Amino acid sequence: MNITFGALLKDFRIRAGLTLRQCSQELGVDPSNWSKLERNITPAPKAEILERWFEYLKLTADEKQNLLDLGAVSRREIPRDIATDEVVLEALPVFFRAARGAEMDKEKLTKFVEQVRKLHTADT
Amino acid sequence: MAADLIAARLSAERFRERVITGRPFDNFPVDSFFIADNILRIDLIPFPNLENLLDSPAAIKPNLREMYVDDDLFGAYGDRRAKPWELNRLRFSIAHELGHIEMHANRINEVRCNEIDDLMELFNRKDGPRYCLEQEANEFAGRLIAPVEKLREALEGFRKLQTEPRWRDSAELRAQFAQLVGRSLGLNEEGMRTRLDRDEIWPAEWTEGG
Repeated sequence: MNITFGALLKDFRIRAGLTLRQCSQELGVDPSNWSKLERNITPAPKAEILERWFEYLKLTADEKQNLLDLGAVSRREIPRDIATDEVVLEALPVFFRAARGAEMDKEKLTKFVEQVRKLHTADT
Repeated sequence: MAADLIAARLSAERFRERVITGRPFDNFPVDSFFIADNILRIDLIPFPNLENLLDSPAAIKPNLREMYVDDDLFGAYGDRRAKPWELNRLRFSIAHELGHIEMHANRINEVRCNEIDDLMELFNRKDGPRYCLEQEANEFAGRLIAPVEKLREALEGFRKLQTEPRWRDSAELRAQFAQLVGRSLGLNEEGMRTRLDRDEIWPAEWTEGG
């Protein structure tokens, strides 16, 4: 399987010993957006932005080029469509530690599902 | 069907041995966030308002590779201004989800939603397989964050400081001990009291009126 932009970005972050929160905070990116990049939901940002990240992630010349190339591919390939119901269904949680006695109502469920959809849709 | 708490404890010990012991992050409090993100490479997805909507600080998707984390708690991680109880909550919740990943991969279909409305039924049902699996994940998280040998060691240190022969009878001293050890292991007081009971370190029933 060919590596994607998001997977390579995650590899470099982890190699640098950074958590998603530390990395996104230091680079001034919203953690949700960084998460979307690593999951290949959002296309890579433009090369000028990526170049600002290289030093922080301590990339070699080859690694920089590789990330730029995959970034260009992702900008062409990743669709910006709204996540389908099928995607949302796959994204519903199976396990969660809920407070004892808590009840979920229809309104909360609707908001929850809406949020799941947003988290699996690229920002337009 | 009952929750298998003993299996969950053993599973936490095996996980510690395999993933944590002897590694640079083998410290207390257990950094479950770092372990999930950087070691197991789980995708942690900040989820706005998750605690309010789902009444849960973290939740895992059926692929067991992606985990939603309430974004306020997500923001608390690594923030020096964060309140200890928030970090403890985040630590425990992520450790709980790690328990599901470790123990329940072959039981996903028992709790999976095939329609969006199933989620409400799943959430509101207070018995059945999901309830047992959640109990097991809680036990996993408790044992991972507060290993029994650490608790015994702490109790031994505490015992040496006591001058009253019947110190174990005191519910007040037990509460102090729970707070003290909870602070060093990063577990909230209620969770620590549960460990003291379940691991028979200092059960409430040993104290007067307990």
